[in-house]
Amino acid sequence: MSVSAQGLTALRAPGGWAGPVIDVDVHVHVPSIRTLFPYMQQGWRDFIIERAVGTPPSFATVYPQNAGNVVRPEWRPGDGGLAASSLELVREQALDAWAVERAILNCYWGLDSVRHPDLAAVIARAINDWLIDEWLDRDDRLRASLVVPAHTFADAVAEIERVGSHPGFVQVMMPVRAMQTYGRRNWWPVYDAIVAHDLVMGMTWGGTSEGPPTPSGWPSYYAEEWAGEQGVFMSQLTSMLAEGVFQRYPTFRLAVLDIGFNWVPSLMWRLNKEWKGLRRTIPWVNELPSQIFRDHIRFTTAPLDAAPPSESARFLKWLGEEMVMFASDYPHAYPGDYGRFLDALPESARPKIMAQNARAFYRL
Amino acid sequence: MTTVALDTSAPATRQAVTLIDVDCHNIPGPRSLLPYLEPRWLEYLEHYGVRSRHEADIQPALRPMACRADSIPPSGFPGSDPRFSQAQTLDEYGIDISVLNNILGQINFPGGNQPVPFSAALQRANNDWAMYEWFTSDPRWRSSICVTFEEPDLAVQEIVRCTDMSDRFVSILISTRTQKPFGNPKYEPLFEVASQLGLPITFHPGGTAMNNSTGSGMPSYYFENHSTYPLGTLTAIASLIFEGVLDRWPGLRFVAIEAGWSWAAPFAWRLDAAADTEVVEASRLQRKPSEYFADHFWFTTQPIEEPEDPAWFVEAYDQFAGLGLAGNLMYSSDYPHWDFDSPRTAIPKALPDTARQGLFCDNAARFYGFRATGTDGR
Amino acid sequence: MKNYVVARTEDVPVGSSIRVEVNGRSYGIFNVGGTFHALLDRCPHQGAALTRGACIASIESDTPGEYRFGTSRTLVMCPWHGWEFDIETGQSWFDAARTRALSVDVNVEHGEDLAAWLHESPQTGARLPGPYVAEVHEVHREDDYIVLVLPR
Repeated sequence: MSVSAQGLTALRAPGGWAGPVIDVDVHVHVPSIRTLFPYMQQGWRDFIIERAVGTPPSFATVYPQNAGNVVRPEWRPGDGGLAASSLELVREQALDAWAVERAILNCYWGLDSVRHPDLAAVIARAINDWLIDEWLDRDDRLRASLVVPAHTFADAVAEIERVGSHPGFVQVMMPVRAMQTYGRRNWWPVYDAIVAHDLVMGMTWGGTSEGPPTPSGWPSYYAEEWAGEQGVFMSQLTSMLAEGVFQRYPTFRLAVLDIGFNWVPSLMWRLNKEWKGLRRTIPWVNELPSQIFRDHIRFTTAPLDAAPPSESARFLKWLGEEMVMFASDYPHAYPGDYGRFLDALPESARPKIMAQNARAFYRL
Repeated sequence: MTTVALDTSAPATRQAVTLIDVDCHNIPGPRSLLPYLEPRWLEYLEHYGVRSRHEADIQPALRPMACRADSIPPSGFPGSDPRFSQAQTLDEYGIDISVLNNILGQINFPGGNQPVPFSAALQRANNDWAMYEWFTSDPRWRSSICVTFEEPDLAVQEIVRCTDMSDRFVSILISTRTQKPFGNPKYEPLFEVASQLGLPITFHPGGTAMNNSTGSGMPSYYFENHSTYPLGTLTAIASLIFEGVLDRWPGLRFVAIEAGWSWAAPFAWRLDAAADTEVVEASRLQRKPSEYFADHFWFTTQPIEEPEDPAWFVEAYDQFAGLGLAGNLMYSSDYPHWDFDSPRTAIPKALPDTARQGLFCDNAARFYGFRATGTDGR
Repeated sequence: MKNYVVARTEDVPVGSSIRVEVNGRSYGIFNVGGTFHALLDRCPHQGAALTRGACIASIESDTPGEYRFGTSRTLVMCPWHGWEFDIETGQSWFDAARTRALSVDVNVEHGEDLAAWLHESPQTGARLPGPYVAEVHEVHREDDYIVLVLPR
C-alpha cells in the first residue's frame, strides 16, 4: 500500500468529499533553533549557541529524519529543508490541498527531552510565541496546541497561564510518553490550568519517560516500536480513567492524536468488564468506562492502518460515530486512502468525521 | 542422588477428549517447595525469602492472592492443593486435560532481585513439585516448565531436564514482562530449544519488575495493570516479527494467556501499516506481519470479551477468524483467580458450534499435540 | 405460591448468609442488620454461588480521594468477578435496571405457629397462608424460622 500523498489529496478530487473539512492534526516544525531567537533574551541565545543546543534527542528517537513515516515523499522540500516548516508550504500542501475550514497545528519539537528546567521554559515560551506570530496571526483558519515544559509541573502551569487565553490556542500538547502516568494526582495543578482556560488536552505522539516505552524494555526496530506505541496510549488512557481525572474535572476534554482508533473498542470492552468487579478500589469511576470515554475523549482517523475499509467502519460502529475526528497528520506518512475509508462508512458518519465532531469538541 | 522412576506418562483413557483448559494455576504455598530444595537454598530461603519484587500492582487486588473467594483449600493457599484444584476444575466441569501454569514460577521466581542460582533452584523445585505431586495426583494434569528465562542458557538446561523427566511438560512459561522484548537476540537459546523440542512458548502476564509496567511509570491501581495485560503480548509480537525470529525459527508457536484476543486483528493491521511505511526495516522479513499470526500466535478466551452489545462478540470473532485465526483460540479458566471463566457459562452461546468445538478442544489438542480422541497424552 | 421452611433464624447471623436447596435449586438466605432476604444463589454473570461471597458495605465516591463508606453490609459481592448486588432487591450496583440477581420473598415465622400448622392437614384449613413445606425435620415452638415463598 502506498504512502504517497495521493491517499490524502484525493480527498478533494472529483467524486471525493465535498463537505467541510476540519483537520485536527497538522504538524509544523521549527525550521531551526535560530528561528526561536527573536522570542528570547540575548542571554539565552548565547546560552544556546555556546552549548550547541540543537535537535532534541526525543525528536530524533520518535521521528528519525528519514524514517518512512516521517514525511510523505511528495512533501519533502526539494531544497533539503525541513518539512512543514513554513506557512507557505503548509498552505500549499495541506490547508489548501484539502480546503480546510479549520486546522489545528501541533508543533512537536521534543521539548520533553530538555531537562534543564529554565531552558525548557524559555524554549516553550519561544515556540508558543512563534506559533502566534508566524501561524495563528497570519491565517484565520488556524488554531494550535500550546507547548509546555514536561518536567517541572509548575512551569507548565505558568506557561498555560501566560498564553492559554490567546484565542488561537485551543489545546495543550501533552506527549504520550511522560514522566508519570497521566492519571496521577501530581498532574492536578496542570489540569487545573487546562480546565480553567477551557483548553483540550492533546495527547500526542512523542515524549520522554523515565524508562523504556514498553513493559518489556526497549524495542530494537523503529517499526516495532512504532507499532507497539499503541500500548503507551492504552496505559495512559487507562490511567486517566482509573485515577478519576474525568470525575474531578467534569468538563475535561482529551484528544488522542497520532494513534488512530481501531484499537479502542477492544480496550473499552475490557475496561468495562474489569470495572464491574474492581470498581470498589476506584470508586470515583462511578459509571461505565465506555460512557466516560464517550463523554470526554476523542480520537482521530490518522494513521489509517492496513485494515480493510469495511473493518475500519466496523471499529467506528463499535466506538461510536461521534468519537473520531479527521486528521491528516500532515506531513506524516501512512498507508490508506481516505476516499475508500469514507466510502465504507455510513453516510451519516462522514460529515461527523470530517468536521462536525471536531467543531463540537474543540468549539470551533 | 537416587532417582525414582515414576510412571507419570498419561495413561490411556477410554473417553474422547472434549474439554481442554490451557490455563490453570498451581501456586506453591509456603511449604510446598521445601521438599524440593537443597539444604543450601532452604537456608537461604529461610533467611532472605524471595526478594524478587512481585509487581506492586497486584496489591491491593480484588481479594487475597487475587483469587476466587471460594477457591481456598483447607491449607489456606489457593492453587496449592492438587486434590482441591482437581475437584473444583477437572471434576466439576469434566475437563479432560488441564495445563498448569505456575504463577510464582512465572512472576517471582525468574529473578531480578536475588541470586541467579537461587532463582534456578526455585524453578527446579516448582517443576519437581508439578512432577511429583500434580502429575501423580491425576492423569489429566499437564504443566508448562518454569525457568529462569532471563538467563537463557540456564533455562535451556531446565527445559531439557523436565522434558527428559516427563512428556507431560508441554510448554515453556515466560512472563509478558521481560527484561527485553521477547524477540530480542538475548532469548535466542530459548527459540532454539523450543524449536528442537517442538515445545510451544506460553506468555503469561505479570513479571518481576525488570521494567515498569507502562511506558510512563508504574500505575497506581490494580485495575490499571489488570486491564492492560495485553500490552506485554503486543510488545512481544511486534518484537518477534520485526526481529525476524519467526523467519529464522518457522516452527515456533506462542500462546498468549489472559491477553484477550479482540485486539489481535486491529494490531495485525497496524503492524502491516508499520511494515508498509518502514520499508527499510520490513523488507528483510519474509512475510507481511499479519501473515505470521495464524502460524505462530495463539490466544486464550479468558477473560472473555464482553462488548457493550452482545451481538458484537460474534462480529469480533468473525473478524479474528477472518485473519485465519479460527484455529488459534483456546479455552482457559485461569483458576483459581477471581477473573476465572467457567466453561459452562463464559463462552457466548451465539458462537457457532464449530467455533465452540475448536476453542473448547480441537485447537488446544492440535497446539499441544494432545490426541483428541481415545488416549490423551502426547 | 408455596412456602418452604428452610432454616432457623439463628442459623444466619447478622452480616452472613447460608445456602439452602429447594426442589433442586439453591437459594441464599442473607441477614442484613436483622432483616432476612433471599436471592437465587446464582450470580447472573457466570453462575457463581453468591453465598460464597462476602456481605459488604457500599463504597461510593464522586471524586478521586474521597470515599463514602456505607455503615451496613447491604451488598453481597460475587465470589468470582466481584460484582456487587443489593441483597434486598438483587439489583447489581453497576446496572440496577438490567443486571440483577433473582430476589425471592422471604418471611420469618414463629415455630409455635408453624408447628401447629404442620400437624394439621392442609385440607382442614391452615392458620397461616400456605401451604408450607418443611425443609427442616423438626420445628421447635420456641425458635423462629425462615420461610421462602416460591412459585411452586
